[in-house]
Amino acid sequence: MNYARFLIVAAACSMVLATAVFGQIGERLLINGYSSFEFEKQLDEQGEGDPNGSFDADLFDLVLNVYATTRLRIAADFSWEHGPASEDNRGNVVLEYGFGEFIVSEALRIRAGKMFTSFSIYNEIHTAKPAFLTVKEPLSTNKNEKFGSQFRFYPRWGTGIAILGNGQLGTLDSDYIIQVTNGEQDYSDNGANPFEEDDNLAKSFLGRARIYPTPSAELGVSAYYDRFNATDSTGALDGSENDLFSLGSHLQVTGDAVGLELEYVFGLISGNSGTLNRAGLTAMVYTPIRDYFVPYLRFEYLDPNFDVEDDFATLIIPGLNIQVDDGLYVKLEANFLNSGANNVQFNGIGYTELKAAIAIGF
Amino acid sequence: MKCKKYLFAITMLTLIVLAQHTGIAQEKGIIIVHKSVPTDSMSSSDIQDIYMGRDLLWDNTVKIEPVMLEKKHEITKRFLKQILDMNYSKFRRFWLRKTYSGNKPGPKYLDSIDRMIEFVSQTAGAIGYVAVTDIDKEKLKNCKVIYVDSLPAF
Repeated sequence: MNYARFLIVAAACSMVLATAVFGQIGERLLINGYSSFEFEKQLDEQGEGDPNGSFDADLFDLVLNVYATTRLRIAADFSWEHGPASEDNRGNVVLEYGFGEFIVSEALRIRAGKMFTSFSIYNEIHTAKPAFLTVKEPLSTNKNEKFGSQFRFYPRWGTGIAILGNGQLGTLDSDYIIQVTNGEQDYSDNGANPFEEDDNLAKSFLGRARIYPTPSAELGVSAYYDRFNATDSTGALDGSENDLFSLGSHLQVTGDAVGLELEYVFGLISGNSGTLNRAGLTAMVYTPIRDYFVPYLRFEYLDPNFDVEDDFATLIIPGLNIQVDDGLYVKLEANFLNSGANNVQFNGIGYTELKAAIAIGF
Repeated sequence: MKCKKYLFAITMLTLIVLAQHTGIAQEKGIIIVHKSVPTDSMSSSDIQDIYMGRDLLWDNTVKIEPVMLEKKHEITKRFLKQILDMNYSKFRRFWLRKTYSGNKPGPKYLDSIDRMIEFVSQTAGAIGYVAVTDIDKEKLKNCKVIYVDSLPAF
């Protein structure tokens, strides 16, 4: 009897304690996230799209923010892409970012950990489908390695430290970020994990500054520099190093009647084998109708190497983004891709692909 | 026949444009803050800085905790239009981008006036808003009403 009483009292105490602890954690922890489900069907026989009309459990993503103190925030973003099943080696699981941020003042915050490379508009939201209108982020300025370039303009992530903040530049609102990270490493993978260990002395540097001429307009410039070990045609390190430099500019206008997004990135890679210049452009116009329907038209262009003729790739995307409910978006679009004969990804092929997506943000 | 088609297209376009001019709530609102907040008046621009995530701390000491009422409340539309100069969809998308890119997440959303008043009353650094008709002096005793651009209501 006494034992039963003891158990009841102990269970009651545990519940009270658990409620109190959960309450404390609940006040400090914020959970957000997003999910995206997609469908793609290539209409032409030839092309790099999906000829089978597949459904894609694109991703499920959780964003956690823990407020350890008034000034200290820990942020993490976990992503499960394409229905991961590790036993079958399918899909992808990734820590998109995981860092601590300390607020010295609004003009100076310090981050340390794994971060997105804060270049231009899209890299920081490159999987966050509810955050942009189109089904995919731009290939020409964000995923150029899938559009005919040998290297990206900048890596998706970096591990290191950053300072960032916002304030007034004259009479204009502005913000900035400077990141110093290990940078990317040679893509042939010689065993090193750039989020754990650098494979050379050089660090990468990223800087971005943005000004807001009006509450609806954003103008930004970004620059990225890194030096990485070069490889020969077999993928083996050849003992030399390449410099990678990319310079971007962007403009966003989010008017009530018309919106506009422009991104331009110029990049160069230089090393023993010479210098490669390339550039990418994205332009999008859209017009919100009654808050819920947003027709859009995007144009993308990439010149992967100024010295190679006819290696361009272009993409024209008319589409419609429908806000069905708060945070629930349906996207429908057509992708008209065209390429030059010397484009290494598409080899002169042009094709059309229909894409649809359901994106949920919370 | 062609003329009819053009007429139909023009009519549809006109309807779409007219439909976009949705009215905003006529009822005015007030800005409320926790009684510990060290100010009695703010400009619209100050409040924009808070709700757009540019200002994070009161006097560089206390964390600012902005809260919003859910979209179903008419006063939210008025607050967004009059103070932030944007509609709800634009505001949501702005914060989706900020949150997913690693920045501090945006304002908390609360579903009722009572919860709004309760939150602002009990949370140091909190700022929110209610409609003028929702003012209940007893309930607001732990809050301060803030003048915006030298006016008591927006």
